[in-house]
Amino acid sequence: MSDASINGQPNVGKAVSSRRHSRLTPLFAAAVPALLFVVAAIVGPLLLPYDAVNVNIGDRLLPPGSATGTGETAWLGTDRLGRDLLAQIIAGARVSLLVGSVTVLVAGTVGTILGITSGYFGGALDNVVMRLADIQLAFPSILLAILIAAVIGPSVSNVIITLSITRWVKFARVIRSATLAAKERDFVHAARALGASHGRVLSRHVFPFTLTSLLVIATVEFGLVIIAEAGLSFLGLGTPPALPSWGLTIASGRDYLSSAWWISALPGFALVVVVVSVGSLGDRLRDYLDPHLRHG
Amino acid sequence: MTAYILRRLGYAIFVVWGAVTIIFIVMRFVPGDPATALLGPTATPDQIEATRTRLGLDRPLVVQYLRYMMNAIQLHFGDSYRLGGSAIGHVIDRLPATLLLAVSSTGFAVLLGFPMGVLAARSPGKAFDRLVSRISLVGQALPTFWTGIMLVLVFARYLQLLPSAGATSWQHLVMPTVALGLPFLSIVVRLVRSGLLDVLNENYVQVARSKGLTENGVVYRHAVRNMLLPVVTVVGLQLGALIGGAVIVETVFAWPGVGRLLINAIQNRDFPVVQATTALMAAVFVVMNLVVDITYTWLDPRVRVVGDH
Repeated sequence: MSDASINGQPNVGKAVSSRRHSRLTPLFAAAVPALLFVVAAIVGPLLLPYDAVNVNIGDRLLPPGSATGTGETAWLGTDRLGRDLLAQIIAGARVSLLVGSVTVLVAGTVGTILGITSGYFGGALDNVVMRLADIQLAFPSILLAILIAAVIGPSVSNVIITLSITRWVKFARVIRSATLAAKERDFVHAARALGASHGRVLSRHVFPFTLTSLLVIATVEFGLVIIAEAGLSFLGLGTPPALPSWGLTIASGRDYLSSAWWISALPGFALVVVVVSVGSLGDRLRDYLDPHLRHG
Repeated sequence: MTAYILRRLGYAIFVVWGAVTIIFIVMRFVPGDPATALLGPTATPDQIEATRTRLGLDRPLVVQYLRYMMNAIQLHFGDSYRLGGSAIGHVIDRLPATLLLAVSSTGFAVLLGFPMGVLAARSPGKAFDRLVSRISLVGQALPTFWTGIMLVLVFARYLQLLPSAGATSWQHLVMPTVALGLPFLSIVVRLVRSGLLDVLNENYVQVARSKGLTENGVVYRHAVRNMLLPVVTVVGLQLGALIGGAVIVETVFAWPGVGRLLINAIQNRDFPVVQATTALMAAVFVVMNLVVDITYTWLDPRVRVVGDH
């Protein structure tokens, strides 16, 4: 328990000494950096609006902490057109978090429905879904995304469509195997024997059983999705140039590595912080929900 | 065993067929049509019509698909609009550079990750183990293109130790290898650590200990051998995934591989090259998975017995 973020909240878990409560603390601690970005993405643009068109050549390539021509402080410096980098990173957080959450929602919903029905009913449906999954997995994950994005063109909704198409497979496979495990449990047989319909068994008995796997895989996929979004945007296949995203900002700083390292370095750093935070949330969630899996 | 291999081979062919079909379907969504893309914006309607007829785009979709599949079987994806010559030829020319990068990244990840994982598992919960766990958590979160740029910033711009782009010496291989290999290294560390921890609790390890073997003997003669198989499998599967990851890293370092060819082809709307690249990469990926699968069967007699029935 040497996390700085835990030490920062000495009262948590002291007043209520229930085990459950103290085991929840690491979950919150892991989520704090990601939550800060969520808050920044929601309220940040109101406090520090980013204007892609507002170019100020006099302020170009200012290092972090410099004063701009208008007397304000550019805490994280400015880019090649004199635009504030902090505002740009906050605007980029909006894009990343939006793409990440909507994609996980869409891919997760599609994958869960296909996984749970094909696992439960088996037969031809299962065959078709799993063969389709195998075919899709013939592409290294980013490759199919690049192919689709290249054809349908850069926009936020297209990135979401692209990544949802490439990401449903993982959800479907995980949920399918959880469903296969649930299907053989006594409570499912009992529910069927008592006359519950397939729909009811699926929604009330099988789905809750798969929820642990679903939550854990969702956190893993969230990180992978925002890395993939940044990668596509970096290649010019993700968000359109007018909308600042972390991938685009990193790409735009490549020509200024010697004179203005912060343009490429800082948005990537933000990306890593969010992915690490969500990733460790996933790890701890797994430990919390399934103590058997805990190691050393 | 032979029946098993044949069955796996048949399935691999089915998967490649599916992948090539997906490419056909995706390509139907290209705005405008290939004839317009080929001729550019200055073409007259008559020219476009003539090219459509020549490319068979005026035929029914089923006919187009059958023609496309017949060509794909012969590895013919048309001629490159931009570079001239057969599209697949360009891809095959570039493949060795990408494979070199994938293999060197795998080497980097395994040679460094394996000992780190073993050492971490030998003292679970200790300082080194915790450090390694943190590093691997961060390592898996690193976007390869950003790591690449940061390596360029430090080792090429500031320290001026390594060249930032190109592929003319072994020094050029260092940074792309590290950028591509770091997330993989983290996976290897985690896998080796948890695999070894599982094995160290097994009865035969307890027996080895109680026989009075040294801890090194227990770990290297008994435990490591038995956790090797899953590690080898994941390494094999990851080698294929690295070829996908190489696409972005090659762009950062101007590495003359398949990935850079693909991105340039996309920018030039050179669709035959795009099709040929993705089809060949998918095929290479499937073949690698097949090889891993068969090797696994060959190494593990238990799977072999099940496979024969």
